[in-house]
Amino acid sequence: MKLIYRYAIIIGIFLLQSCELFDIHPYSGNITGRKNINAANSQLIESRYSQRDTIRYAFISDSQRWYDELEDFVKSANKRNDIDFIIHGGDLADFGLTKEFLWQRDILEKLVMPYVVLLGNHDCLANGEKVFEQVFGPANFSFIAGKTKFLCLNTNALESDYSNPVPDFSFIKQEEQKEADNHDKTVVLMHARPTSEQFNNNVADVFQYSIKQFPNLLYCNNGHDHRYQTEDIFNDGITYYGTPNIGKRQYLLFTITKDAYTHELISY
Amino acid sequence: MNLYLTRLTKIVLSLLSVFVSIIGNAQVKDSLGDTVLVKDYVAKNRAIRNTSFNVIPSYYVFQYAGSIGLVSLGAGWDYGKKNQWSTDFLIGYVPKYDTDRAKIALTLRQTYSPWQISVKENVTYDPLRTGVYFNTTIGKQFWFSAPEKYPNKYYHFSTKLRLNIFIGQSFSYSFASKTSYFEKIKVYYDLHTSDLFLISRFQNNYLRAQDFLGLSLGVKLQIRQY
Repeated sequence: MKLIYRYAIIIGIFLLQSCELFDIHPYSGNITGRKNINAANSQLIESRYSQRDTIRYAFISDSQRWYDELEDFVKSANKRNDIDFIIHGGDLADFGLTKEFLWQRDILEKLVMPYVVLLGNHDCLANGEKVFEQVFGPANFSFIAGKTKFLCLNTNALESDYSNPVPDFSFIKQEEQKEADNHDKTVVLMHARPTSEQFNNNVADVFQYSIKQFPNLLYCNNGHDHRYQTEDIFNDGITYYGTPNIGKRQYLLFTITKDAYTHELISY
Repeated sequence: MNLYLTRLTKIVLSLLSVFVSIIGNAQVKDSLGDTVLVKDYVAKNRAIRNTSFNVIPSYYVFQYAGSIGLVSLGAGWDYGKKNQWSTDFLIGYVPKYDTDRAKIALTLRQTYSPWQISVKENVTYDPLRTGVYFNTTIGKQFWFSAPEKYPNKYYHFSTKLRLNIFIGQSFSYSFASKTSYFEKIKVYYDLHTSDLFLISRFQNNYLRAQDFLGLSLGVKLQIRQY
């Protein structure tokens, strides 16, 4: 009899541990499933497209609380066979809940091509930034696709304080000196662009100056504003292309060739 | 960071010791009271208890999960003609998991269980328990409303306060003893969801029941009321 009780307790504990129905806390930070996705996928992009002169990627952003629309995007992108990789411009979570990151990740994981995700301001709420770092990776990162360097920067200054510099100029400087010989073009990506209320506009000019030090800066990509934007913010020939939120069922498709680039606004 | 954790451990330990001493004290009083039990006295006392608020809770409660912590401890009061209402207060512990620190969450819960069905002599079944609970998380990264640095109405929700609704069932088993400190044990389960999960579900068919609903299990030790 006693043995039966003991087994019941062991089985019970096992069930409690395994069953995903038990929700511990909205901000538990209990991450199940794949982690550190940006690093693995960046490596995939670098090795897969290293010999290519032409690359094509889709830039999506702001998919918070638009699960249906994000899933439809994944289906429609998977049907095309001309997209090399996907970049998400940030804001996966709306409330910073741990589960929001996992739900969005699980949808993106269905993509047949590699993808990377930038940090958005909503992703920073509560302990969201910590969860983001675990699931996707550091807020500042870079990778090279073909001959183009993609510099992905955290620009959500309003979510931070002075102990955590946003934008991080030491990271930018460090990137500028890194592997300068294996790329001849640069694209800078961020969630909130200069002039946005999220951006530290006190250093907007310095920011622009420092990203222009990179080899042949083509243009910048941003999300956050939930609409299609093409603006030469600093009147210096560098256009900031803003992509609509995924709730609008739209994204930007960029094609970078040896000596030019084009973009297209795609509705699905 | 380490300092914070030790302080947290101290708080949890001191709360636990208070909890244990309350039970201990009550049990001493209880054994003294047994010798002078008289039928009239019992009836009178019960009448007074039913009409007045009692500082000693009706039950202690232990819960697993429920979006309020991995494990939660608390106490509560039953009231109403058939004790169909209960209000309880729980302290939950959230381990640190993949974040920097463990968290403490406080919960205030209101339960309504309108029906009691007698199954066996000492087993009762409540086919419905339902209600709401408010949960707040301790920690400076959680706010009731967005701090002043943000433009007006930048984030129009609270990371610190969650409103949850739940529906569930319970069974209770009365102990054979007529004088034991606890008169019965009640086990329950609840299906619950929160304001933020609900709003996410309303707008997305993608989210399935197992995404936005949670299951919690609990045990209540009902204190004998004379």
